[in-house]
Amino acid sequence: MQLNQIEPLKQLCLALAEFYRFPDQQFYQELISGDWIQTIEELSQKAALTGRKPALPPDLTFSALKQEYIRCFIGVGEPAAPPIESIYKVWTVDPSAQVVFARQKGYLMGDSALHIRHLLRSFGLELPAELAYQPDHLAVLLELLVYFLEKLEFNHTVEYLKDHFDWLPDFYKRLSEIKANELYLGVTSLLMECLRKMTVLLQGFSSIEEVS
Amino acid sequence: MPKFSRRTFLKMAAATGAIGSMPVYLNRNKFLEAAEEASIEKVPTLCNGCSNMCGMFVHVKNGRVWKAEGHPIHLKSRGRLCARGHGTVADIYNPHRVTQPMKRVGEDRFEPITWEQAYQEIGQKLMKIVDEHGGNSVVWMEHGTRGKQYADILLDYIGSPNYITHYATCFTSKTNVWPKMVGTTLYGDHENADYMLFVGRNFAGGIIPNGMNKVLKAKERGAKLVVVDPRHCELAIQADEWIPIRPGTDLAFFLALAHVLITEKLYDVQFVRQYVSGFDEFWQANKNCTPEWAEKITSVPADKIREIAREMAAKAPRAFLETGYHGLNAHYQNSVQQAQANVVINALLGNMFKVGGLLPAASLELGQLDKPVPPAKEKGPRVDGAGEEGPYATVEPGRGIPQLVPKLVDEGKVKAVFIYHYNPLRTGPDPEYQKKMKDAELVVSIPIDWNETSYHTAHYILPESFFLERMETPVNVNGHITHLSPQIAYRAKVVEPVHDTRSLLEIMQGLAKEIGASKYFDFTVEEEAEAMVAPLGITMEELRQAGCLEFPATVKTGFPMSALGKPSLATPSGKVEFSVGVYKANGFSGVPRWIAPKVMPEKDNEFRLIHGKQPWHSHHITSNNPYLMAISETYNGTWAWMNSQRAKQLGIKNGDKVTIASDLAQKQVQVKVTELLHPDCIWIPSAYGGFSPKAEVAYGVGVNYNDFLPMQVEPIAGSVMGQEVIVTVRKGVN
Repeated sequence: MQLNQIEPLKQLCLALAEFYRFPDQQFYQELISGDWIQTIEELSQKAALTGRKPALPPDLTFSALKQEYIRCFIGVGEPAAPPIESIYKVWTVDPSAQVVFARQKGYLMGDSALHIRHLLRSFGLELPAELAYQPDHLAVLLELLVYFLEKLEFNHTVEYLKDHFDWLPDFYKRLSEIKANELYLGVTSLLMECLRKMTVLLQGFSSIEEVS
Repeated sequence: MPKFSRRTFLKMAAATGAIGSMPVYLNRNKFLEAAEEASIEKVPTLCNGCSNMCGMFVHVKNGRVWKAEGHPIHLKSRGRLCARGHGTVADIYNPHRVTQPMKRVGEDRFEPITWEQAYQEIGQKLMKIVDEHGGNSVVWMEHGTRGKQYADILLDYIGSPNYITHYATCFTSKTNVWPKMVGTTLYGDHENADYMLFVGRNFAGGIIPNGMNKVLKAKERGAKLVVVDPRHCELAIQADEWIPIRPGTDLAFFLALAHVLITEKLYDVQFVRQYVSGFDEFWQANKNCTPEWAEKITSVPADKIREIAREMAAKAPRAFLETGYHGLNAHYQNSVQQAQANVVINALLGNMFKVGGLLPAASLELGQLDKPVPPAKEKGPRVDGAGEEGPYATVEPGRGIPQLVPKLVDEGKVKAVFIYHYNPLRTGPDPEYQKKMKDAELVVSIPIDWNETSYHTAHYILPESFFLERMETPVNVNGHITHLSPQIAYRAKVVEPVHDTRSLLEIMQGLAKEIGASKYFDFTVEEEAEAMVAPLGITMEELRQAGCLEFPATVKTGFPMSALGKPSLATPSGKVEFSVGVYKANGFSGVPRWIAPKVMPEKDNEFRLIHGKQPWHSHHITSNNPYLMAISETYNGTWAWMNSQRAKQLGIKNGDKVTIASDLAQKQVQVKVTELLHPDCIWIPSAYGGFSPKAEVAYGVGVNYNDFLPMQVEPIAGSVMGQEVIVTVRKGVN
């Protein structure tokens, strides 16, 4: 295992994180120019990822991209798969909570959000306005992951990966159920593979760190 | 190197002083263990599960809502919340709320936009409409009066008189009648009564926790509770007697009660002589309304009518006919006369302003923030005609006629519609008709969730913060139940907004900036609140701590008299007026007299469609709540009710799916076959029939009476006549 194998995975996380943010004109232009897909391909190759990759739908317009994002992640008009950790986990494990949804899934601002907010505050990090109300949004989680990769020892990052990305299979299942397009299914599938590989690699480094 | 450009993301906060001074828990479990040790704060506020605004305490831990309980002092809750109160709390973290401003970009298609873009576009469109068509072409619609204080400023600024509420679907007959006949509204003193007659009001369905508490206390003391209702409703379960009545004929029942009270000289002669005007006119118009006459109309036996009248008279003045709410007061062609007859019965019992009878609401005069007002603009007549010369001259302009708005849009008379905290597409008649609203040049909805109106008609959706995320100005705590001492309470902001939402004042301020009206909204809700409580000799801090404060009693028993010893109600004569002059002046009868319902079922498969509340829902507003809908599922709450004899004739069994049809719609629903419903009608709960795909829990569940109901306007009070519709019912779904 090589330390430089982490770098393409890290870059890939940043690249994939962009797909979970509401698309703007610049992102769309770069997407249809092929830059994003090519970059993702190159990074995947470097990281030796072999699974499903995102595919650009033919004749994708800016409007269609925005509508697919809204359909999949915001859900105007039909069920959606919001890329928010709290929704896929029990709201709180604190036994003192007496609200009816305390032990239920499907709600925002769960324990996950509370923890991420704590981490953001602890490290003095601020969210952009569009995500200010969603601390455990997947785009935030990925950004924070990269921050930790750069700032913390690997064992902490492994903990973070295990703590905050274990819901992705449920998220992917939900995306499949709502028949998300190939772009978002491919991005999510690749992300899961990327994070799995990163976890394994980091665990390896962590054990070396511990031995040394 | 990547070829793409990334958008700016995580930034270092400007102030990072906290770093290093607090423990950092990188591990989730360790963090949660530490978080468990956090203290819990109890924040007093007001519930929003229905419009009663019960006082509640919300426990907050780590900035999250942790528990809800009733406020022990607040008149409506007295320490208890109903299912709706507990259930509604969950909606704060429901991901299906509107999370930020939305702009329609096509049929069923929206895009998130910034608040700034929303204000700019709405402001430009609004002023263009005002310039081209005048302020009269702009309408503000809302559920109740909560947004009025801000809507009025906007409407004054643009020169529009068109403030419209939802009350045409609720209690509009009652509020039209009582001020004209009594000069105020009175409420049953349940706790101290010896006889309570509830007609068409399911007090245990549209529940106020302390209201039912008072009724049950009276019962424990030995008071009699009689419920007259086509359906054996939740209140009937608690009653000594349930009397099924043919729906739409309550007026005949009341007139016959009056007949017995008068002919048997059981009424309070002294009270009538001193405090009533128009008695003779009433009697001349109704002296043929005998119990036998009423029996044929109502199906209530004449002897039972006599028995009730005699028992009430024996217990008077600690006996009352409950003054009603949604039930009866917006349902029929004769709803206004029914409300008038309600006043007559209570006056004949001599129970007004008496303990155990009817009492006024306790309230305090609140102060007002001194702020600049827009220069006076000439306003034309109201576009819905409410209170204007013409067919709706007697309709209260403060309530308006919301069901006319789609028609007015269609006719080009309304160009811009603002809809605040209101969902006429589901709670008003004929949703397909209501959809015409989207053809206005500008439709702005200000909701919490993706209600039907927002989804199907709004051009812009501006999400209001959830009730636990915003502060509102103080209110008098009164209505429906009596209390001699006034109370003041207010809605506090309990937690920070979960989404990019704003309070109504903030929304109006944003819009005002774009239309040059900023200086009229240059205040905060805190400043308003301080000014409101100032005359009471308290500070907002005191109210903030307590949530609800009670003041020395203001309600005085005894008929209001002037210094000269004359009756001094706010009516032309100072007395209770059995004959309403303004009705007469507009071509209606001054006194109530029998008017038949507009439509009647005739054929074997025809039924009057009636509806009502369930104790765990507040009409449709709570139907996207999974916990409240779970109760519906447990109790087959979405089923229609049908009389067992009628069902047998049509070959329908309990649990069968049937097809209900009117000229407007044909829908399928399961039925509960029961003897606990009058044979003339089929009953469906008012909570269901959601058709906003974004409201996933409610979507496609059950049916709603409004699907079958045509748009119509009762001419005196402007109600929708919500039960003037005949449906056919047949077994099966084909």
